[in-house]
Amino acid sequence: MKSEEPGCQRVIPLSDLSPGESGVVETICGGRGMLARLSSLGVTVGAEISVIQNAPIGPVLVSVRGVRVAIGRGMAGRILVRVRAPDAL
Amino acid sequence: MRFKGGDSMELLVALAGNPNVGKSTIFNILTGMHQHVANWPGKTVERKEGICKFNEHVLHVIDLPGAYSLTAGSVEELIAREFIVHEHPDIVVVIADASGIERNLYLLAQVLELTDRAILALNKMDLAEAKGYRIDVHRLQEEIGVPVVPMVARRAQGIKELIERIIDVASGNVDVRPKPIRYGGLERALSRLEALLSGHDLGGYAPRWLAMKLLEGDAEVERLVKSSLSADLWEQIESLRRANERAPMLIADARYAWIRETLAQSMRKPAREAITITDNLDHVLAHPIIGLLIFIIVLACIFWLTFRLSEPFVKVLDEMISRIGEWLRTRLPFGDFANGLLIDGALSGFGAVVSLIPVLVVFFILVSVLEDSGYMARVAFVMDGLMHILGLHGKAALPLVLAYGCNVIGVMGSRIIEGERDRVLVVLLNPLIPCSARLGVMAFIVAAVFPRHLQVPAMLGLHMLSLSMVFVAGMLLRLFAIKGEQVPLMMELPIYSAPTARNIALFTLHRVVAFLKRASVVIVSVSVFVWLLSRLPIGATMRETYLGKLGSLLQPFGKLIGLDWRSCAALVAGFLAKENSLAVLSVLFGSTGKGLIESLRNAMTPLQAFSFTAFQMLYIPCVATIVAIWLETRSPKLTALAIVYPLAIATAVAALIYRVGVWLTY
Repeated sequence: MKSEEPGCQRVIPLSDLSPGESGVVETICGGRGMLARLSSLGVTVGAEISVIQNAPIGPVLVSVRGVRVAIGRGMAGRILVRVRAPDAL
Repeated sequence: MRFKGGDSMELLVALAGNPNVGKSTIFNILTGMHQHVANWPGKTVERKEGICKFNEHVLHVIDLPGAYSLTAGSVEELIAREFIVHEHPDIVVVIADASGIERNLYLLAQVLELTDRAILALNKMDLAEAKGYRIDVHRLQEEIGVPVVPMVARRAQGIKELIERIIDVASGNVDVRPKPIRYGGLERALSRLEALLSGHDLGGYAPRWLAMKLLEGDAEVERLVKSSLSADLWEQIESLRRANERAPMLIADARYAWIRETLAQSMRKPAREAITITDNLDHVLAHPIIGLLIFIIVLACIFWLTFRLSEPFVKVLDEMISRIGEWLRTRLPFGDFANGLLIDGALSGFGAVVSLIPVLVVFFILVSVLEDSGYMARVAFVMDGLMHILGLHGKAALPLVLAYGCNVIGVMGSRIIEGERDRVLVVLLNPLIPCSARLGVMAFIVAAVFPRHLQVPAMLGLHMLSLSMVFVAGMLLRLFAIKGEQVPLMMELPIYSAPTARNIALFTLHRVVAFLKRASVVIVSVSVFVWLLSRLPIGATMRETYLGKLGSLLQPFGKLIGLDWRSCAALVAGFLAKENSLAVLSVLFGSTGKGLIESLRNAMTPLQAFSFTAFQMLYIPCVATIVAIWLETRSPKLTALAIVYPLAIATAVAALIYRVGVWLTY
C-alpha cells in the first residue's frame, strides 16, 4: 500500500472506498428528498461511515451509527467521504 | 380515550418503528388472536389492528407501517404520520432496536415533533448487550423525558411493563416532558414560517411542524400548503425556503445532536464493536457472488417446497372434494340439472379454492421465516444489481419466480417488496408468467398436435415469448401506467435473529384467511356461472349453449388469431381456471368418441395450436389471481389493467404468430 502524506486526506465518493476503509461524510449531492431519506438512515454530513462491502456492481454496504445500511451504487457515488488514514495495523 | 366507568379506559395505541425492529412481534404478543388485517384505504400497505385487554382496560392497538422517518418519502411514512396527526392516538409507542439505538432514536425525535404522548420501547436489549452496548435505561429515561421500557420481545420480556407504562401515561400518572430539540440557526426561519402559516386552515397540522416540513422539502406538505394559501403568501414562503437551502441537513443535524446529547450520559459503547454473528453471516450471505448463488439455491428450495411439499395435501383435498361430489350425486334428490349445478358448479369451484390452501400455507410459512430472520433484506441487497437492469427492486426476483408455480402466490408474495411503485409493477407483471396450470395446458396441446421433433423447440419458444413479453410489458407499464421514478436502494440490513413460531403462525393465518374469504365467494360464483353457460338452455347441444354461442360470437376475433368457436369457448372457460380450457376442449373436440389427443391433432394445425397456446399463456389471469390482485392493490383501476393489458398483448402476439405463419406457409 502506498503511503499517504500525513494530513493529506483523500475526499472520494463512497462508491470508491474499499471494504474496511472508513471516514467522515463530507458532502452529499442530492435533492431535498434524497437528503431526508439518507438522514433517516443515519447518513448525514459529519457522520462516521465505514464500508463493509463494495463489489463492482450492486449496492454498497456500509456501517453508520451502529447499523448496516445498503446504499444503491448511483447514490453512493454522490456521497463524498473524507477517508480516515488507516489505523496502524 | 374513553372512560368506561370506574377507572377503566379504552385507549387508542399506535406502534411506530423502523422496519425489522420487532414491531410485529410486539403487536402479535399484545393482540394474539384478536387482530384484524386489511389494507390502508387505497394503498398496497397492510393495516393491522387488534385488541389487548389488561385488567379492566381495553387497548386498541394499531401497527403502523415500518418507517425510518415521518417525511413523505414513502407511502409507509406518509401513512404513519397521517395516522398520528389525524387519528390522535392516546399513546404512540416508538419501538427501537437497542442494538442500533442511535439511528433508531431518529424516528422518536420525529414522533416527538408531532406528539408528546410517546413511550420508547427499547427492544432487542440482548443483541445490544452482545454488541457490547451498555445502556442505562433510567438515565436514558431522565434525559429523554419519556418513559423507556427495555424489552426482549422475542422472549416476551417487557410486554407487561410496556402495557403498564401505556396505562400510566394515559391516566396521567407519569409526567411526560420530552427534551426539546433545538434547531439552532433555523429557529428564526422556523418562527417566521410559523407566523405566515398560523391562522390558516391547514388540515389539522400544527404550524410549527408544517414550517419544519416545508424547510425539509416534504413534497406532500408543499402541495397542501401551496393549495391552501394565496399565491402571494406562497411566494413569501418560497423565498424563505430559498434562503435556507441547507435546512434539510441542519434539521437532521439538530435531531442527531439531540440524540447524541441524550445518549452521552446513558450509553457506553466499546471502543471497537464486537464481531457479531451478523458480521460473519453477511460475509457469506451478502457476498456479491456467493450470496447470489446461495439465493438461487434458496429460491429453488422455496419453489420446490411450496409446490411439492403441498402436493400430497392438495391431492388428498381434491380427492375428498370429488368423493363428496360423488356421494352427493347419488344422494341428492334434485335431478340431474340441479345436482350438476351444485356439484360440478359450486362444489368444484369450492374445491379449487380449497386446493390452494396447502400451497398458500407452505409459501407463507417460508416467506415469514425469511422475513423474520432478516434474510429477505439480503435478497434485496444481492439481487439489486441484477434486477435494476429490469427497473425492478431486488426482492422482485422472489415473487416473479414463484409466479411460475402459481400467479396467486406471485401476486401475494409481492408484499415483501418495499416501495409502492415496485410492488404494483410486480403485481401487474405476474399474469404474463405462465403458472403450472397454464404450463400443463401448453404441454398437453404441444404434445398432442406437434410432431415429436418440434415439441421441445415449441415449448422453448413459448417460454422465450413469455419472458420477452415480461420485459416489454415492464417497460411499457413503467412508461405509461405506473408513475414515479425508480427509487434507488437505500435500506437497513437488520441483525439476523431466529424467527418466532408465533409470528410465523399469525402471519400465515391472516394471509391465508384473507385470501379464502375473498376468493371463495368469487371463485364459486364464477364456477357456477361458467357451468350454467355450458348447460343452458337445457337440452341444447354444446354449440347451442350460451358458452357455445359466446364462442361463436367471438369467432371473428378468433379468426384473427386462427381459432374456431370451440377454441374460443375453451378460452372463455379458462378464465375460471386455466386447466378448465382443456376440459372444455375435450367436451367440444372429443365428442366423436376418440380421445382428446387424437381429436386435437385432427382439428388443429400446428400453427393454430401454437397460436392457441401462446394466447392462453398470455391472456387474462384466472379468477383466483384477479382476486389476489384486487386484495393486494385495492384498486379497481389496477385490477382492470391487469385483466386488459395481458389480453391486448396476447391478441397482438397470437395474431402476429398466426398471420406470419400463414404468410410463410403460402
